[in-house]
Amino acid sequence: MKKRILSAPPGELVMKLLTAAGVVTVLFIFIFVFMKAAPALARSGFGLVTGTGFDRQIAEAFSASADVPAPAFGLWGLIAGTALSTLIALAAAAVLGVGAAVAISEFAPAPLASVLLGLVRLLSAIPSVIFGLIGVMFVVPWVESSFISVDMQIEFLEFFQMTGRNLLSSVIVLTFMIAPMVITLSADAVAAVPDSLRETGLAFGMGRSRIVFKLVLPAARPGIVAGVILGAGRGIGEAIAVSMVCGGVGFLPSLRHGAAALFTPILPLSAAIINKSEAMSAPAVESALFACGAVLLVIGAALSSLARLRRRKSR
Amino acid sequence: MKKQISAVLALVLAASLCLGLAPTSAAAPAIALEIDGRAVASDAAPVVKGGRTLVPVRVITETLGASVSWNQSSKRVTVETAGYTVVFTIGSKNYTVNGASKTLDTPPEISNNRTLIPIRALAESIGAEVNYDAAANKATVNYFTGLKGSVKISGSTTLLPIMQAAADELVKANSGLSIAVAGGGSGAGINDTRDGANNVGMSSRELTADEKATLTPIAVAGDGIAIIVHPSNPVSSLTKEQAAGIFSGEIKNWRDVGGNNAPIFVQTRETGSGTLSTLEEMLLDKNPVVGTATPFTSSALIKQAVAKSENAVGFDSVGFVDSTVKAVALDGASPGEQTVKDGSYPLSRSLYVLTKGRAEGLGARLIDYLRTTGVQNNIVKKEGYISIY
Repeated sequence: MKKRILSAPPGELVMKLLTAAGVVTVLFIFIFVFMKAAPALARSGFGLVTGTGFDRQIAEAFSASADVPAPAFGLWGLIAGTALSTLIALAAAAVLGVGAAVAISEFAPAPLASVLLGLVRLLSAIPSVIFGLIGVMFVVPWVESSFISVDMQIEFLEFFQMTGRNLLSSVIVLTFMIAPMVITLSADAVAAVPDSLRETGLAFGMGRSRIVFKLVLPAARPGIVAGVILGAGRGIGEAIAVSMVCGGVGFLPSLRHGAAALFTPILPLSAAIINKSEAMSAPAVESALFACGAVLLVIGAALSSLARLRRRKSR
Repeated sequence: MKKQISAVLALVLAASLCLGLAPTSAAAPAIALEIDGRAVASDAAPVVKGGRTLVPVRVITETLGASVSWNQSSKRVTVETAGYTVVFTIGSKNYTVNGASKTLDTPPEISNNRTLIPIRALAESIGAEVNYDAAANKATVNYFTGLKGSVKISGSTTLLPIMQAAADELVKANSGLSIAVAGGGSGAGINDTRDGANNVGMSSRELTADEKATLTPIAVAGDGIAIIVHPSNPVSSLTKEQAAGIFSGEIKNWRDVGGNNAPIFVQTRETGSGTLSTLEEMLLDKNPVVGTATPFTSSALIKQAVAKSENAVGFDSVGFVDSTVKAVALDGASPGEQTVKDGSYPLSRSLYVLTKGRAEGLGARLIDYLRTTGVQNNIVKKEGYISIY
């Protein structure tokens, strides 16, 4: 063993060390986050993922004196907010993304396609806080003026403040953040489908759109799925942009309210960590925020394992 | 003494001659006064009388954080720092320091409506270090420099940002000084001071008579919270009860307080904000702000939200309110520097530091520092509080 390492070229040794450092760092992150979250996890138990009322619990934990045990925390409202905003945005981004990818790679003339793809790549490089700013300046007022009336606001005030800062705005902002990722990866996947497949389709007398939907897209599926899963990762972890438009209160959108549920203010997990960090001087609050982080880590790890699993299956 | 001075003078002269830098003008300039390394500008120049330097009392006390009071009938000037009370009498060589009588060479005087006090006597009575550089014609006072030791502070989180910023400045200027500032709330600060667990406590509430028997409070800042609405909102005054009803969620429509038929959108601050705790304490009897309120992470953001939304109501430190929003009057008093200082505005209070008995040592020095015009202008006002001057 020793001999092999020594006889390996120096570049390889460096690479191995760097890889090991990467693995150790990831392990360290998991251990650190769960250690910090341990007090909140122990106190809340399973209620951590099923309970609600996070905002009030944080306020109580912050103002409680040191000798009073901190309350249990319930993250269900936050988890639901994260899941709803990400899933709806993901669905929208997938439709938008795959459509755009097909349009760019299959139908657009080559010079236009490369310009469009360049623009999309640029879009995915925009820092998230810019999306947040655009969200606050345009999306929030637009949502409020187009969908919300004063009567609705008065009617719903006993449940929540119906303003432009809500689930729908979060979804819109997230969609535009996720879509470029889905478009670029899908476009690459579509472009990578060998031309022989298309020629075969033509030989069988298939029309252009049938070729795309029956042959090219199925062949490009692994790449498209990878793009969607990466997009999910970005959506769940996105904090700054969402925290600026989400409303900042961990309400649970309720089906009782019908379509108005879309205008419920939410507080996704990642935004909660940002917004509540001012209260972190209280150890109980710190632990609760690390518990949010732990839940995010578990979801993230699950998503990436899922992606690996799907890839193995598709082979 | 005189010999030393002339020796120094000779040396300096010799040195400057050697370097070819002899001063070109021989006219004696006015005495320069330097406190903690900073030149003190004064509209009335210090004068030298009988070998003693007399300086305008107001100028140095402002820089040293002391307060001055003047009694016309007894011609007495009282200079008060956290640790010392020094009483001079105009024209008299007798003065007292914390009640003990002392004697001056040169009596204090009044010239051009300015009270002039012998700087060495005053500075040394309050524990400052004074040096006179005859060659440079300059008096230097070290009061907030050259400090050594450690100070423990705890208490009100409202006062914490001011204290922390001031402590940072002092520690930066004094390499031998360490200051530990902790929060814990007013109650903890008062208890710690009583039990001797800190040198200086911080409190955002008045002390009870019992507490005042052992503890000495000194006000270092004023604090007021303005209730703000959109400039177009027809409501421009509320009773304290109405305001409490709005923030607790009992009043939900502007119509109920004389406004339009429109929902009241309460804007609040995220948990951890000192302004929020202050509002809950002074307006809501320590009850929480209504759960539907939209929280913001900073003073600027809540103000911006109120400035943009016609039906919003929020709150902000009086010092931060500007014309983008409208501050409503409470019980007939509109929030402002003056109404907060005199306490006529309901959501106002003084912030105190406390010591057990009279302040002494480094604790007293820190309190004086908090009361200097520098800290009042550069820290207290900048943090959104009201200056004590």
